[in-house]
Amino acid sequence: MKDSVTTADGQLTISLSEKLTFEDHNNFRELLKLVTSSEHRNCTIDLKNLDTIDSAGLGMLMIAFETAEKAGMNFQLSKPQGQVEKLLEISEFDKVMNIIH
Amino acid sequence: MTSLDIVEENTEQRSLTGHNVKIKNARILVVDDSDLIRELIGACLMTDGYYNICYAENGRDALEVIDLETPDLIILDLEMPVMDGFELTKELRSRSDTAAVPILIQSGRDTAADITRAFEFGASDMVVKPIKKFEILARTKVHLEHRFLVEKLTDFHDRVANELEQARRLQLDICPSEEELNSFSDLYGINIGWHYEPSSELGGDIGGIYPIDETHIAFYIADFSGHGVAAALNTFRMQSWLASAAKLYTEPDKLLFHLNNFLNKNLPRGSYATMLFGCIDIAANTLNYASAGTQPPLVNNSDTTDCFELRSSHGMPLGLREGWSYDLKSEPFNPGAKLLLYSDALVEVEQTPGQFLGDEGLLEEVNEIWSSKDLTDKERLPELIRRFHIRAGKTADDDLTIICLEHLGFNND
Repeated sequence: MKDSVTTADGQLTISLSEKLTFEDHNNFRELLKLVTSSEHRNCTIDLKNLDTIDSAGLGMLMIAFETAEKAGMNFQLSKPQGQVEKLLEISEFDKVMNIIH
Repeated sequence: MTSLDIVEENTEQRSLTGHNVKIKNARILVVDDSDLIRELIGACLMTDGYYNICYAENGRDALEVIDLETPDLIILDLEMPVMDGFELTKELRSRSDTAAVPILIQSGRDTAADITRAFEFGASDMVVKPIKKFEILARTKVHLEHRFLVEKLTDFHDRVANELEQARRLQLDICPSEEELNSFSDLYGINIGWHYEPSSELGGDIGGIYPIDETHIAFYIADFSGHGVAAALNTFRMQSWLASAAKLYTEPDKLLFHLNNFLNKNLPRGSYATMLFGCIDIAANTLNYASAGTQPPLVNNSDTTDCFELRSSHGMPLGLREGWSYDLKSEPFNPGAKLLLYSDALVEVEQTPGQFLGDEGLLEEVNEIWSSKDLTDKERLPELIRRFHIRAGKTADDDLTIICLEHLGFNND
């Protein structure tokens, strides 16, 4: 997993690329600290460059959503592609959180 | 806090002491044709606390001593009449019980050719005569420590491997047996093909069949996120929950609702299981099921096209969201109808480099196999598995489960 973080006008954007898998859970936990400590009202995880995700990765996205939910932030996943989009769809994540296609 | 520190320190000291005692108890064999050198080396070792020392005059003598009890270290001269040090080293390395015993060569021969030859034959280390007490003691200690640590590590590794193997067997044991499957065919006119193969490590696949009453039979397939021991233990947790939830077997949507809440309470955050739970009513010829993000099942409702079709398996994976509800799906399941359930390993294999088989690829393949006139009905599932193995190679890194249910009905002559 590679990530980049941008912030602007109350908006926290975390962009993920390559793979999101079990190996990334420590890095991802660090990223979540940004969500809990941030003053921003909106959090977007940009998935447009994420190629694949495994079962652990899917769990991490749910944890990210719940973390933002608890912090009272708006949360969305942005532009999932290919296998990532398919797995989110089959798991009905769109019924829980906002997914922008 | 302080008392805990003391306890830990004591434990460490004790295990260190235990280790040192083990080293000092080590059996050391000294092989040299010179009485003087043997005594000299023996005396050196004794000054450092070693006492379990035995001696031999040449290679052949040494073999006799070794046959009585394998030593932990051999200090060996190279030039000896009767069997020399090179020959003895070669012999010991070829025997399974002595292949790993450290051999410390002590010799006056120190040409590059001799040293090379000794190491080629399997010597562990070398000291050059004249014997220097501190050198020989230091090397003795290093090789004994190494030997005991490797032994300990190997024992630990073997124990863990053994336990994992037992766990794998337990997972295999909870699959329905051939006899059970045959009995379901007799009782319900439902023919069930079952294939489960655990990956090289433990995995999180599980499946099962529950006969309910004369006209209802339930089944499920599930897969826990992650791999290894934790995922495997979760399969047992799910199995015991299901065993106590018999009243829900005819209501798959409610069963998933309750199981989801149970897993949500009990699994670590972010862990989950995908699942499809279904129930066939052979009197009404219907199939009811509910799904939580498994692989899309393949259904062949022979009435219409005699082709398999993909069905939606959408649903929130179990354990992720508390209080989530699941839809009940229902469709006709007349005699001749077939249902194929499978874990993701089956479709997550490369068909061509970089190109995965996927659901659609599987659908095409299953339709081809199930309509082939060259195969008997019994040969179709094995053919699907055979093709999987050609793609995945011998060692798949994920569990594979395939369950194939076919409604035979009782009216076939």
